Amino acid sequence: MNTSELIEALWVASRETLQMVGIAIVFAIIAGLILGLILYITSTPLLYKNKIINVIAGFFVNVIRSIPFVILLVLLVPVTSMLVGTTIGPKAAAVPLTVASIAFLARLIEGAFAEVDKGVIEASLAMGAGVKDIICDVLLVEALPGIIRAITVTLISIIGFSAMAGTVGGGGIGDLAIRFGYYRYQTDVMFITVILLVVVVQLIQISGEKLANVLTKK
Amino acid sequence: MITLQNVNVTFKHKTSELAAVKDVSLHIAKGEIFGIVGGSGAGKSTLVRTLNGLQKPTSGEVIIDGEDITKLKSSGIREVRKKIGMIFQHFNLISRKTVGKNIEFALKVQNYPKDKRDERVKALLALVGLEDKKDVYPASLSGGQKQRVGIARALAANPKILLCDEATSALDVHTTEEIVDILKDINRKLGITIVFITHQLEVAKELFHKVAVMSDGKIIEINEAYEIFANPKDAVTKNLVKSNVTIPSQIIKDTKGKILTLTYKGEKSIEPVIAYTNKKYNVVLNILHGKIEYIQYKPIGTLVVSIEGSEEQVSEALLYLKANVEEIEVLEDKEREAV
Repeated sequence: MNTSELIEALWVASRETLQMVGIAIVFAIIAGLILGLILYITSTPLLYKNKIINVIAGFFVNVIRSIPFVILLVLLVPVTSMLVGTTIGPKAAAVPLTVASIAFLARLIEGAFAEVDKGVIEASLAMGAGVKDIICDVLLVEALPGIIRAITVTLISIIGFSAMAGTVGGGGIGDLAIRFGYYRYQTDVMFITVILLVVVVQLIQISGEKLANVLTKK
Repeated sequence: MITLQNVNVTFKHKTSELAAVKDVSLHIAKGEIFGIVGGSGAGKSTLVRTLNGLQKPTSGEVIIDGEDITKLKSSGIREVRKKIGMIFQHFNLISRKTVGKNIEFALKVQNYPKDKRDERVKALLALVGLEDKKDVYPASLSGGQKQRVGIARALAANPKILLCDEATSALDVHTTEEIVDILKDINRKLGITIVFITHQLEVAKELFHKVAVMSDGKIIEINEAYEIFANPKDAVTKNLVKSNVTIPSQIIKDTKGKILTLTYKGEKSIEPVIAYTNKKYNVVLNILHGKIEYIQYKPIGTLVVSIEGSEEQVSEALLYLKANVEEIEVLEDKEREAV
């Protein structure tokens, strides 16, 4: 592969990765927030403690998190073909990525909510605030830096997972590295993709951390 | 205004039960500053939380303004809470909202008209002297300023009752006085009934009209603040309010003769008594330490003296002193050696 071919291949692969990761993180944020909220609220006596809902939600999250991602990929093939109509390509790979990252992010977001000062929640209750007021004006506001950190960690994991998804037909940077760098002994391709990934992950981590710090007002 | 009738709160754990509040009955009049004092773990915090339904009593009635709030559903309790403000030891402000937005949140909860909120926030901040802090985050405020924001937030809905949960315990002496003054002021200006729990007796002396002493979940004594400090009845109260006059142990060792602690109160002055005792009984009374405290503007004095003289003279002098001061306590030889 000459240089222009390599750049072309990298470009295509990057777009595929971006698409997979982009779809997965958007859905993960929406569903992870809701699931994280449910996990937190149903475990907090001050708000809406409900053991049954908490155990069910917790079980669902734990099951997904206990399945190794490669297995989840295969397990979800029927679901993927039902939802996307194919099991090949970045869109198809986004399905298992989304499922895995929802569970991952939900736990981290639950943790971010648990960090919110209970005294502030109690003070809000004392004012006569309902659960909805507390979610919108206390939990989401106070936990935002923690949520940003949780999303940062999840985003980096999704990028890692996306390499695996790529090998079963999803494409993307990971797939490129395996096909050329491993099967064809083109070490330079492997090397470039690794550098690219290191740079991207560093950038995400640094900007996530920075954003979280700016938002922290403690 | 507030009546508690046989209120019990019991926390059940898997293997044990903890009775935090035991059979408490009390009445708090409108416009009163009512204090509940006691050591940590006495059940004060739990008791005050029954007043706005943050803690549901296991049994008993909590009657606020004629209504038993223990019978209310959660939506009813929310309405009651809107009429009761509360401030906390650690202020509990939303860290990522500015001072103004913190107060605005309280107004939002109350469904206060949107277009009037800004004006109300400004008025509340003016009330606590923080007009210029509307747009800063709580982290940049001092403890006293944070508590003022807490007060402004608690007053957002024009409550009839203000609950204070150790509201000055995290503050230094000077700032505590500031907050106490603000509370006195709003009690006077707005006629709000204040229920204040604390372990700080200095605050109790300064602020409370009436005091309930709590120990081990029970109210053991309720009286006017002055009476609690001047004439404590129960042993626990006595121990709690006992004037802590401490004299360096070296001084106690070096002092000849008996050491007495004299308590006197009201307008009566102690000097003539001391002078008369010295002269009449031919003893020497030495003043080691003394202080006068004012509770609700009435004085209570404590004086530690040593007395020297012949045994006979001393015992006669003691009889005379007993008749002329409120209370006399003799430091026994055993205690002296223990010092």
